[in-house]
Amino acid sequence: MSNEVQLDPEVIAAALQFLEDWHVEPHSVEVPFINWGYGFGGRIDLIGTWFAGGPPDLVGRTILLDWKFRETKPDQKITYWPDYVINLAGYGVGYFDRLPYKLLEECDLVSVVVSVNEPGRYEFKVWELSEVEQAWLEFYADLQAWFVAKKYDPREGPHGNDENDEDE
Amino acid sequence: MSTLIRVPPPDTSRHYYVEDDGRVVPFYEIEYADKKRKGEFRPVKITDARKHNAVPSVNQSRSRIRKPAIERWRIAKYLEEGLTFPFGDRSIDECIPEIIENVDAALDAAPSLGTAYHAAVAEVIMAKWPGVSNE
Repeated sequence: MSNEVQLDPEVIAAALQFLEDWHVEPHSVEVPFINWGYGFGGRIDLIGTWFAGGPPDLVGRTILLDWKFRETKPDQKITYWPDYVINLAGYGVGYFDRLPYKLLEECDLVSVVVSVNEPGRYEFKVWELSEVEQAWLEFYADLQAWFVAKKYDPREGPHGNDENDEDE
Repeated sequence: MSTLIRVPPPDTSRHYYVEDDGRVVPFYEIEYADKKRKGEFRPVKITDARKHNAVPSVNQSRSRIRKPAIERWRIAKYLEEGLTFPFGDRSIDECIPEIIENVDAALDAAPSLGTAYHAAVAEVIMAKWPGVSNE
């Protein structure tokens, strides 16, 4: 099976348009991380800063962004599924190693939906603290259930133990 | 106009991460131990994760959870295909395998497309903002 797919440059342009329209300055993209304290990892799509000209109440804050490239329906509102914020909560808490109430003092978790069938269309949502707190609890519970079901907790391995030693 | 891009194997969203010389790297494939299959790779299993002290990805650690929205979306895709399929003189039973095959192919392609857009956008951003890194 071929691993090649056709991409529409207008979709890519719409993603960049979001950054320009809302004055987001990217610092890093596709950032992999491991949080040994919690025992999981991930890859963040983009970390940046809202700069002058962006949403007035967010200028100067850090933005942790998750792209969602998906089909949309013309004239219909975009649905932001709970999975979006659950994953973002994992990325934010995992990367910055701060619980939501502390994390969101300086950082915004943002889902940007870019339409793959309506050229140029994008929309975004900045998640509220109450949504991120609920999402983190769900993610944390899922993670603990995974450790139990798989009978494997990476925090008990050599890396996890190193981190525990430092904590003591 | 479109751009052709090569993407990682499908369903690599559910994978692991390991540390390699202090760098965090994704871990979704491993070479077969069998010497006859040297150079061939298979998906990482939980036994590999234990052996290499790999951590689950955000998606992997949520892989056991039912996702009603995604299930509804998948069902809708099968319904759409079934309701618009050109049956001609063939019976429903004759057409069902083809309907399922068509939708399966489209659903398999969906994650690859998303992965490809992520990679392409990251590449364009790094070209446009030279100071941007991926570490």
